[in-house]
Order: sequence, then structure tokens, then C-alpha cells
Amino acid sequence: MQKIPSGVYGLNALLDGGINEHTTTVVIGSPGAGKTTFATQFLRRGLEIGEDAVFITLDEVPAEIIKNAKLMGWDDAESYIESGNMVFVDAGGKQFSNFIRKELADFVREWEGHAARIVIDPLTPVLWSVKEKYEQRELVSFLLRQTRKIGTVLCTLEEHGVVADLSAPELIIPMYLGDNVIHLRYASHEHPEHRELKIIKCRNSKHSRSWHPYGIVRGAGLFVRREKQEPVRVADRARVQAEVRRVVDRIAPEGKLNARSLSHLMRAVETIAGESASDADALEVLSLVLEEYGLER
Amino acid sequence: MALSDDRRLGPALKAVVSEAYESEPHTAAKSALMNENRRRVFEYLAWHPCCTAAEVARALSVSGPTATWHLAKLVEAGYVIGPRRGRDRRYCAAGMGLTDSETATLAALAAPAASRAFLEAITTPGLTGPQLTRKLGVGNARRAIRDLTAANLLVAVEDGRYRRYYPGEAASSLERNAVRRLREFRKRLLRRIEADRLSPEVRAAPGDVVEIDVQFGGERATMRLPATSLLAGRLGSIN
Repeated sequence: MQKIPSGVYGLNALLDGGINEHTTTVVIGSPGAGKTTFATQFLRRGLEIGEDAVFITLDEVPAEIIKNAKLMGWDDAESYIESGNMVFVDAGGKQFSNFIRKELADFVREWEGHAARIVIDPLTPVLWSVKEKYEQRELVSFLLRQTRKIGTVLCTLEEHGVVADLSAPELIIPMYLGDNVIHLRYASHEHPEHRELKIIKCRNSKHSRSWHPYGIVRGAGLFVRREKQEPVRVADRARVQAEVRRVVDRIAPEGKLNARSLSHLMRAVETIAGESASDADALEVLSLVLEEYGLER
Repeated sequence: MALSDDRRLGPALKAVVSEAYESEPHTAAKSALMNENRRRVFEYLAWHPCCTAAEVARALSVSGPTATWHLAKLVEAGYVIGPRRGRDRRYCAAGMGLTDSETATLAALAAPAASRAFLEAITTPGLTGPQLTRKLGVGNARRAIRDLTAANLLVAVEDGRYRRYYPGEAASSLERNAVRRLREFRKRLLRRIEADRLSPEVRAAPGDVVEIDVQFGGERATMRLPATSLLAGRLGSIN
């Protein structure tokens, strides 16, 4: 199976090299956990390597998502929309489930074999558009089986009520049916900075089975660390900046990356270096960013 | 399979999702097609894509405001689209998937003199300007020839003293995929009618026609739609 880079710093290694192409990934998390940021990074990375991106949004208006993408350092998000490589589909839950029932099969027949990245954010209103559990399952199963024929699909799911309780019915159905399930655990009411991620399943991969701390750095995005550690304050800002400069000087002339990927990476690296007041260990995050592009420090 | 490389998955998906109409069971009893005049308007549009409200009114012998009212209801229900082209608004049955240039071609054929001139050029290729003028009348011919040439429905070939007119590429390119497109159009239409709970039934009819029976209450009505040509209505007399 072909692995494609996830766009989330540090995640590929935990997924046995990346996300399998033509699979469905379900990302579960409570409000503020970073589901949309995750999804945006996933699309951005695909666009950088020439894949088309479709963002099906059932809650937020596209303008709001673009605004947040920019906050996470994606300055030229709009240029992809203008060129037609990225498309926002703004739909209601009912309208989208009508589309699934009536049009999806024909659409997939016409486009089968394409490899776009498709985000459905969030999937929850689609489930709620039908009453019966059995119908919900049919609908989601059909949606996931069909859409993965035309690309690699990422759906987000809202986690309600008690955090880390994955037994809610609106979570169980997609968790069973998705090829990969990633849980973003964010206990906003307990400790605002306590974020952990676990890969609950990832078909056909030797994936990590433990909880991994993750963080969201404004201007750069979501990154996952390998191990739990005490929050490290970056004491030596000069050291981080020197390290960044060294890395950038090395990467730029190598020509391994296209211009878009390179400027994305530089921006992420610079932002992280500038975030020295945060508890992110800048040097580790730097390694994670480089890793996404197959580079070492 | 993709039809051509310049089409992109994203924009295509967006178009299909935004067309996914809502179908609430309790609205079932009120279909735009239950009104007989409105059905006739819809049929007329299927045979004569891209015509104005004035033309519909003329052809069906109803008043202008009546035609406009039925067209508005059909647009509202998603059976018809009515994009503006410059000063006038042109109506087409929804789901025919016409491009801008095809719309322009069909619009050029809508004028009665133009469709007659085009018909003459198909029946007798190579007519000269004066010959066309004799058939159509002085005032009509000049304008018809100008519009048809601009839309690439006629091409002029210099032949010594005369300029002779032949059918252009625009019409044949419009007709090339007509059967497939009309099939897609019917498929979409059937789903739309089903959503209105009018239990449509399709029958092939003699000639290049497909008939769709719809039922509401105890009533039953038949709509006749083109099966092979987008120009059938315009060029009816040679088919």
C-alpha cells in the first residue's frame, strides 16, 4: 500500500510511514482539540505535492476555516482556491446525505481512480441526518467505501460529553467503519495544555499503540511528540535560532523540496524558533517538522 | 473515467453536491410539474434550449407574465435554470450541462429567421447570399447571416463572385454527444421527479422521442422529451 505524508508533524513515524492512500481516516476530538487544524494540514501537504484537495464543511463557513488556516501559517491558502486545486463544499447535513444517497455512486463511477485528498469536517451532522442507527451505519459505510475510491479521505467527529468516552453511538459507527482512527484527547476543563493523541487503529500498518503528547503552535500547526516529557522551556533562544539557520542554510541549496514545500517548512521552522516562550521544546519540534519532509536535523 | 484532463474532481463534486435538492416527504404533494401549462413550458424548453420568456409565451400562446411566472416556478423547483446573457435571460431545462459557448450557439438559433436560414443552409449547402435573401426576405437575411456566422453555425466560403454559405462546426459539435447528454439529463430529471413523488415511468416513443409518464392523485400526464438531438426543436422540419 502506498503511504502518503499526513502533513501533521511527527505523525508519519507513528503511522508506520504515513497514511495509506485510498483509505478513510476518522479523527475524533472534543471542541478545541485541533480536528480542523489537523484536517487543514492534511490537505495542505497534499496540495504541495500536486494532489487536489476537497474540503467538505458541514458546520463552519469556508471563510472561517481559511482564516484559521492562515493563523496556522498557511498564508497562500487562497491561491489554491483560485487555481481550482482546492475546493470548499459548503453543505448542510441533510443536503449532503441526499447527495450521498442519490448522486455519490454515479459521481464515483465517473471519477474512480483519481487521488484527491478529501476532508469531511465534521461527519457528525451526516449521522444525525437520519434517525435509525441501522440507517446511520448504512449511510456512513456507503460514504466511506465510495469516497476512498476517488482519494484519501479524512473525516472529523465531534466528541461530546465526558472526554475520552468513545462508547457514544455517534462515535462507534464511524470508528468501526473507518480504516484508521485517531483520537485527539483534549481535557480543556482539566488542564488547558494537556493534549494527547492515540492511534486507535490503522489497518495494514504497524502503528504506535500508546498515547503521545501533541501541541498546536500558532503560525506552524499541530505536531505530535514521540514521548511524554516534562514541559521544557526553551532557555536558550539564541541556540534555537542558530540551529534553525544552520538547517535552513543546508536545506535550501539541496533542491530536494519544491518551492512551496520549502517555504512552508521555513515558515514553520522560523515560527517555532520564535515561540521560545511556549513550553514546546523547539529543537524537538524542529526535528518533527523536518521529518515530515524526509529530512534530518 | 474522466472525460477530459482539464476537468477537476473538486469543482465537479461541488457542482453535484449543490444540486442535491432536499426532498421532504410532506412537500411531495406540491410538484411544480402538476400544473399543465408549466409542464408544457418545461417540454418546450427541453426541445428549444436557451430561449427567452417572450419566445415561450409566443410559442405556447400565453401572455408574457404567465410564461415568466411558470418559468420562475420551474427555476425555483430546480427543473429549469435561467442564466442571464447580457440584456436577456435565457432559460434551459436543468441538467443539460451546456457550456457558455454552447449556450451562445443555441441562443443564436433562437431567432426565427436564424433557424430558418440555418435550415436552408443544411438542406442546400452552398447557397449564396442573394439566394438566402430571396428565401428569407431582405431585412431578415442580413441579420440572420451575421448572427449565425458569429456563432460559427455558418461558414462563408468565397467562390469567385459569390460568397457561399455552409453549415459550420458549432452545430455538429453540439450534436456529437447529444445522445449521452440527453440520457444524463433524463436521469437527473427522473430523480428530481421521483423526489416529487410523481412516480415517473419512461417509454421510448416513435421518432427520436422519449416519453415520461407522471402521476399525481388520480391524474396521469405524459411529457415528450428529445432523445437524440439538442437542436430537434429548432430544426423540427428536417427531422
